[in-house]
Amino acid sequence: MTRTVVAAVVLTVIVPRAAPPQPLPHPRGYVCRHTTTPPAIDGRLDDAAWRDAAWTDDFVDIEGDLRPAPALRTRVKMLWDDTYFYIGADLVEPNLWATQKEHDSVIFHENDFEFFIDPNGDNHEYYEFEMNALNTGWDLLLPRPYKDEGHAVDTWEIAGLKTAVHLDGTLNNPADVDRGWSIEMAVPWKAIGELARRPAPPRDGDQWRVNFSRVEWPIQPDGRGYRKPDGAVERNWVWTPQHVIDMHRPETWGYVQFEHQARAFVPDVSWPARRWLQAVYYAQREFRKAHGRWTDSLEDLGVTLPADDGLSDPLVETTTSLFEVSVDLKTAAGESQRLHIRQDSLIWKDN
Amino acid sequence: MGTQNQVLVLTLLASVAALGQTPAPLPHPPGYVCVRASGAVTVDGRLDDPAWAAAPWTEDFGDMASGARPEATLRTRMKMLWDDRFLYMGVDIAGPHLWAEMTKHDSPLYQENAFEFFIDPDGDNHDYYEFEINARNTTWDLFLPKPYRDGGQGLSDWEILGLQSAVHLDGTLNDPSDVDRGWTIEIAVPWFALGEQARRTVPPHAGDQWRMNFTRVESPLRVENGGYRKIDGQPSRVFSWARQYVMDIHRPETWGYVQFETAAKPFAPDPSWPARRWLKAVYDAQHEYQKSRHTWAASLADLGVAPPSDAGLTNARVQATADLFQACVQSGADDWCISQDSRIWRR
Repeated sequence: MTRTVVAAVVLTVIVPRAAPPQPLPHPRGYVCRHTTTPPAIDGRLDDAAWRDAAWTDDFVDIEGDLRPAPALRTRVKMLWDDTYFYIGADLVEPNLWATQKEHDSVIFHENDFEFFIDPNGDNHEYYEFEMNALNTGWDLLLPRPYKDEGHAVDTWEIAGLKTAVHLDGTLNNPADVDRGWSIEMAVPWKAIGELARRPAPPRDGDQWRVNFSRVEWPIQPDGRGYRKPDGAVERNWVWTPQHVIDMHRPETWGYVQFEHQARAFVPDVSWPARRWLQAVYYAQREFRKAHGRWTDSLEDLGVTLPADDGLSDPLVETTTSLFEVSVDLKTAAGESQRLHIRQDSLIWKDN
Repeated sequence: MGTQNQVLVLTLLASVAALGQTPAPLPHPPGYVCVRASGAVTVDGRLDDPAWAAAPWTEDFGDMASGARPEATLRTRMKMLWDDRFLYMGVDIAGPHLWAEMTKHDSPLYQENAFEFFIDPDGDNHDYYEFEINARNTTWDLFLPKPYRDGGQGLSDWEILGLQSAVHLDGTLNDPSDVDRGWTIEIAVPWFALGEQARRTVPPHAGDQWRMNFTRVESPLRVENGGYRKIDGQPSRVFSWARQYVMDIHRPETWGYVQFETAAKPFAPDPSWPARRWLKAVYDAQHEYQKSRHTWAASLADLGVAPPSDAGLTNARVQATADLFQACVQSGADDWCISQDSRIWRR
């Protein structure tokens, strides 16, 4: 769900004629292995199948290196078969806390675990799911991000979703110190395939854009359990950093690569073009705030083409309400691609 | 309704525009004044609640493409009411052959006989709802972020939480041995669900108009082994409230106007209609142009579309990039625009 961006960071404050922004690092990648022995969804990651799945790197702060590392460890494993995308999460937590029991509640108002999936990496038509330690869930579909005037489809329901929680400790009991909670989910390909615009289940080597987020509130014991102090600000810990406090920027989500066999993760060759187009997109938004219009001049935007990223032939075109930015990318393998972004952050590649 | 039903018929409108002539302007779609329910509506399929008495019937449905009225045995008409929680529809469908097989929710009901509603709350051609129901009260709810023609995909896992529907059969289902009279439907659609992508207030304010259309699909049937079978290879007949001019319901720009009122009031035609139909003609011409030239036209002259002849429309213009275009026209103080994906908005 929408969360206000409260921190202005180097990446977003792109003012005309300022120094070029730091290029975004390639997001984290994960190779998700196919399984023929599906895990039982009971919240415990003790099934044989999970043994073959690697842990992700530990979660980091949503702003990445700009903030201290999270105090509590969070990690995820993933698997898939022909019916489901499986997610197993392990959250260290000394104070297990959850009170919301009604489906489609605003789960992130308490401690939660969340996934975000943009199957084809075009920044539009993505899925969000949040759940708490009571196994209460909230499923959402975003036709496009909030910043691009998207409205969440709350009445989207992940038909056939299976989730379970295992508590290693006592819920809502401040009298003891808990060890944490673990989560298992089976997300049906049928549900997340509907707006995928690509095969679901995926083909070997396909990469889907995914991020995971853990919302952690500073809580205090009260008479009956825990409470959120007035004015409390939550921490957001994520698998791959967003660099700003905003999950709804699919362009920075990680890459999950689906494979039957053990294979190395393959970084996205189009990443240099994608991050440059995103930088121009944000610069256009800043320019419009200041001048009330789009510009077709990269100079106006204070954006230059990096020298060593294989990018060439940039083009910015505008109408009164729309813009399109295009750039050629020559990959290390010598392949040429032309990528585009437009005013609503949709990104696409010429066939 | 699935993409199969999107018969790609070159309309007279589009063809004429491609030839560089001024297309015949589309007439204003029909309007319906939906008044507040004076009392409870019990959703049991029978339109016998006293509240329905205050609701007028729509005009009889006609052929979706030609507008021609079918034989009296296939008459279709409906009523609407609303209150703070629901939009109510009451539908009366005459039919000599009551037929419905599908019983699983979210099945493609239009492949048999079905009644369907389509709602675009803010009239921008995007983010609209579709619902289908058959004589077994099996339902299919869909959300369309944009029309199929513009690369949209239907979202079947969208669920109208809290929707109530019921059918009443005046005849015998799936029984060819007698002649049925028809079926009636009552549907209560919660504003909560309709409001989510409405981008306007729900329940509506008095005077608000929402774009809607309603269709009835009638499949060609034959009798076999004492039951009905659909005749393969023969098109279904589709009757609609607002005429679509082509066999394609997924063109929200031609849907009708439902005007919400607390008391009986006359229907007020949409003052933006001349701007909207002109913009749609430009959209059609651009897509024709793009088919042959693989680029959008950057001016009306290139496009061969004349500026609008309607009094009150001024400052018509087109702008394009490699993959996007926008066309705008001023209507009084309002500037209306359309983009390459058929979204229409007021600047």
